[in-house]
Amino acid sequence: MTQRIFQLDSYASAIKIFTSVCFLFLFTSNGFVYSQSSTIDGPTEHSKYRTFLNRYCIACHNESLNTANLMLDKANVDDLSEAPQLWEKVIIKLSLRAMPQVGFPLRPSETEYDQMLSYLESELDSLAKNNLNPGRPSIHRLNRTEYSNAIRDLLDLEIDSTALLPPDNVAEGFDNIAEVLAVSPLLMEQYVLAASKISRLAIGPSSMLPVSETYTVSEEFLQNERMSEDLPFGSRGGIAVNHYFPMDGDYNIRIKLARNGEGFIRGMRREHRVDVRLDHDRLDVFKVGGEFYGKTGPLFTHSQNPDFAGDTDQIGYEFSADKDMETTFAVSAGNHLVGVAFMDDRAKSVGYLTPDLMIKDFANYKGGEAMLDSVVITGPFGETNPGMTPSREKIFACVPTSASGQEECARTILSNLAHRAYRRPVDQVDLDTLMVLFDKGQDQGGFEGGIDLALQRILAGPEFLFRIEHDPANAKPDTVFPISDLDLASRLSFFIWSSIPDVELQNLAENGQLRKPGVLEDQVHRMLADPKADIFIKNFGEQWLALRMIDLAAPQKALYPSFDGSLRVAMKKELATWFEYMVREDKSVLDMLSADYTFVNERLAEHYGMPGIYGDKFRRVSVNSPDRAGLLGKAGLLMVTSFNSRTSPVVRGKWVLENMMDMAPPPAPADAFQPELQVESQEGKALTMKESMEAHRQNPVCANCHKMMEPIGLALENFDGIGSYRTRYVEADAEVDPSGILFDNSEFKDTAEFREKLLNHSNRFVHTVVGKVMTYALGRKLEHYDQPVIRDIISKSESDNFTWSSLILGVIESTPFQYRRSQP
Amino acid sequence: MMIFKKAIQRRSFIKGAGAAIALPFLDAMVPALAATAGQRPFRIGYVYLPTGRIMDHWIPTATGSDYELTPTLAPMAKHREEMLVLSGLDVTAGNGSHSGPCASYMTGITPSKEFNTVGISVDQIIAKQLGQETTLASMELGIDPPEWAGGAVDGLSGYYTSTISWRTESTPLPRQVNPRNVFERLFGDTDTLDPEALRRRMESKSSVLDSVSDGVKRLMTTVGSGDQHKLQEYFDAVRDIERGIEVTEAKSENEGFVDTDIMRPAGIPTLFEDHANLMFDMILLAYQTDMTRMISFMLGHEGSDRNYLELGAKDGHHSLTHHKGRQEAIELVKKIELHQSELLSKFIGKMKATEDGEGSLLDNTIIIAGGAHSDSNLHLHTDVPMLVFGGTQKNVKGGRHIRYDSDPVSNLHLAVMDMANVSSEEYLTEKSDATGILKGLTG
Repeated sequence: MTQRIFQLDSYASAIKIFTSVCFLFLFTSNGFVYSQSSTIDGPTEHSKYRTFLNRYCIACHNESLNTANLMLDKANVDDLSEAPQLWEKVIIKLSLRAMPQVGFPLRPSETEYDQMLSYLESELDSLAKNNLNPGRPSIHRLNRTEYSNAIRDLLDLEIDSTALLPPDNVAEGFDNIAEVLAVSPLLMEQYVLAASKISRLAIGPSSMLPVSETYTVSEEFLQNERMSEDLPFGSRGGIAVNHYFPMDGDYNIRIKLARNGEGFIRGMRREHRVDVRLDHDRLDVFKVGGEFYGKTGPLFTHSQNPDFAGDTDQIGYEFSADKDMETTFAVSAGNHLVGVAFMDDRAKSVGYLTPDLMIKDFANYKGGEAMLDSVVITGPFGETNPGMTPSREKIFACVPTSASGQEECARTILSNLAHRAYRRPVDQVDLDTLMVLFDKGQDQGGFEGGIDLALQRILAGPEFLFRIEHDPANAKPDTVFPISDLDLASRLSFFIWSSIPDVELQNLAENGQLRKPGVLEDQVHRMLADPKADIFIKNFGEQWLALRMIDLAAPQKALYPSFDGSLRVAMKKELATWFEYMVREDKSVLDMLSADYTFVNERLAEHYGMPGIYGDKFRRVSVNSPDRAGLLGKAGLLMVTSFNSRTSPVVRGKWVLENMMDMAPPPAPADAFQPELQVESQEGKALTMKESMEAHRQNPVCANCHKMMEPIGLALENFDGIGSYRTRYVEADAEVDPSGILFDNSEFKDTAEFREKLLNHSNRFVHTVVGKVMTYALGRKLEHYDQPVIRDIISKSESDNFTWSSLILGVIESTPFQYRRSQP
Repeated sequence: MMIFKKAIQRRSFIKGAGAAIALPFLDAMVPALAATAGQRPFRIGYVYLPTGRIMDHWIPTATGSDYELTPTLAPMAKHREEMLVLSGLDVTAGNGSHSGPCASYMTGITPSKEFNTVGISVDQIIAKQLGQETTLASMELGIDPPEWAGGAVDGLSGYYTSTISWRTESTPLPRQVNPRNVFERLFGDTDTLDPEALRRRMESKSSVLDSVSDGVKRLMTTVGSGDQHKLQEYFDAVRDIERGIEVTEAKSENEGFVDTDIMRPAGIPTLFEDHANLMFDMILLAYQTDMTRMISFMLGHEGSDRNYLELGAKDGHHSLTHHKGRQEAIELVKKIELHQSELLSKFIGKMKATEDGEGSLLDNTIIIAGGAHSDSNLHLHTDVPMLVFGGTQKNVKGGRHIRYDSDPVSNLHLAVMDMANVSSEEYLTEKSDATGILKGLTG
């Protein structure tokens, strides 16, 4: 090695390592041999594993150096039960061939690796079988998604939970981890307020003052194409909203057009027509623009410019042309689709910012096409009625015909609701509690007022908000027991539907049928086939694949002028559609590594350099380069693993290690000196990314982890910060050099070889996916005792080639999903 | 929070004519309250005037009680006796344009670009100390939507222009701009302030919460000790809300009524005037019902570029203030400022007309209306516009123009804290630009 390995203050450690290595060479039976094909051997069956450790590991992982807190010289390899966590960690490194580190002179042969792994895994697996530990998830508060889905299933009411409740805490990459779902006073207030709003909405207010809701179109959209499948063919721009109208009555829609930075409405040089629809039926058409009350000023307006900006009357028009764009109409209570869009009656212009405008010029530009800024829906006005909404139908299973019938009808209604909401049969105490509130509410608001108050109690109460699994009455402490059928039904439905069990599932559980042979498997398949399972695909996929981060990415406009809202949406939709396809078509999870197809629309195809794709509907296409195959070719993922102004090989490498190999690098030490990225050489010449990253490799303390992360990221450097393909660095005027050495010491000279080497670890990828699914399903962090379970699931799914359904079923049938530890 | 005994007797409402709200009154038994028995609580309000003022139309030439009302102050003529015009105050810690001075305005500290920190603002200090006696510790209100906060200026994020309230040195507080949301926060999900309806709502909410508490207690006995802490969190949270209700109920020995026609707003009005008036109405209601005693309200972001189309302005407010001497732009800016003065004056008038104990609501409130910039064209933050209204409960003597000698605005904040009997220790960090309590306000 040509560089100094250790800094001066670690000189003592250097001496220690040197002497340890010398001891090894002197005292091991084979001396110093770079073994390529030998197997582990030694005097006894077990001591060969001790030999393995001595030869390849303890030079660093010994008591005096205590590298990574792993003292493999002291650990008892003959009896793994003493420290299973430790050995699980060893398994991760060995299965990925990530230890010994790249650059260490002695490496085990493939056979040696396999023998050691085989021993460790089978020992730990058999230990686990004799000492089942399913873990003990804590009480699980319904998160925002689960809450709104439960409301939808309970009351047939779609609510915008993001408006009512704050976002949930995230752990392990997911927002459904019980431990961190806390209950603060603020959250409680919002649950109570939400309960009263939802109850009133569901039952329908008997009267209310008008309310206005504003729906805004993000400025990022250029609105030069059909915005949504819910808008008419041949339309351009605008917005489609699913609005909840709380009562039968009159409602008003007011339309506001987009202005430029100076306040001029865009596109008023010519006439546009704006089409307004309710549930696809036209309500009104507005003509706007193209009127002249004087000379119009130049297309680039700017208040600092004292030159002519137009005759005053014309300016006035261009500032307020949309002032009469409103219409009032009668509508029935419930959800309705409101669509506002421009009627596109010209040939499409080519190019997205015409003509080649930078976003900052666009701020001053008042020409081009008119765009929608926002739509305000206000109401109800006039004669109002609660109307017959789906939620009223759902709630009022009976309607009392007389004053005396009210109590009985209330009992029916409330026990129905509580039965579903509490996910269990209702007992006398439950019902009495609710009837107390019914009585109070009835005093003031009649029958419906009573139901309203009792429903609020249901929605704000712990029986609904928390998933609580009880230990059996006579359980001994710290023993393992199967969870009840009802708890199993709950776990199933929150896993696959993020919601309460439906009637069929709950009935099976209540009748003790759920664990009968074949029933569970049938239910799982039924639940997966149900459209409600889309939420699993969406939630799990979005969080694992960082899709939510796509909304937050902010590539700098000057560096990435082609990036806009349409591209952002397309990137997200590609990943979502692709992942959905994988799960719905029950593909092998391995396809995610190398699938040679994807889903694009015109905008995304342009970004990828795929010719001949038109229209904004997403359709399946083959990728146009082997580098684009699989997950690592997706622009959305490549963007969220970059910074706003450049790519980050470190972030990309870390993402791959953490989310595809389940080998997250430890966090940087708290006091690590973090140097500025060197972008220029001493002589002032711009450096390539690879050259810039060299600085990480100078300090061995940093190098240990960075040499695992960076080669992966550098192998992906052909994709820039928004996932566009490039072969050169513009500033450094040099070729992208993706070559490197993977963490398993294998070299690759280009991206194709990198992918090949990564595919050697496909098994680990499956392991990672199972781990993620299990975390999501159990709502808790995985521990070392879950690893044998994962290995078991994998071996059982092998014959199915690791399809999504086999893995999901594997998780559901596993011990941690079906059993629990009692209180210690 | 202090624990109040639930009102043992049911409150009896003396029903008056028209829509009336009960005026909560301080229970004399409650210890450690700033106001002495019989005195109404002291309220504080800050109204922020954004993007500077044309100072030759604002500052009177004469000082003392015989000063002439300048054109932009003309709408306040009827409140002359209740108004103090202050000049010669600087946002001493202010730095640069818009972002910096705005952040320093209520904190007295120059923001640190390195760490993105400022300091705790005066309204939050007051809120911490007075807030324990009210349902809401404070309210931060605004008009310009948060997405209007512009790009970075002088290395400070545009976000700095969208708020003047800082809970800690690194926690800026967002502002509520939707009057409907403000109403709902104050009174819950109700359409009217009819006292019967309000009482019913509170009782309903109480009964739901009572029942929920019972449910939690029952559940706690069935779960293992390891899980109990989660349910305990939930139980504590429910109790917290119940206490809030108890505070409101306990303060309910009625002394009198005030008529209000104010109903729940539908949402955000399109016209600035309507929006501002609604927000001022919410402020009035909040003070009247003693839901809070500390409110800050920004009439726009600092550097707001709002288009006042209805006043005939074609450009945004901020753009116009960079008039470079153009008369036409200057006239429009004056028009905007006059408009804001009219709205402010209307609010003060309503405060004056509202009874509060033996005097008016304005007597028992101090309203400071000012901004961090004076000449916005030059981005000056010295000799900033500053008006003080009301505060006679604390002997504030209006009807005068006082000129100071480059005193920091922080000194005014110290005076306010002193009047409110609030300790200013947290304000006076070593980076603070305050030099002492501003003199001359009382008489």
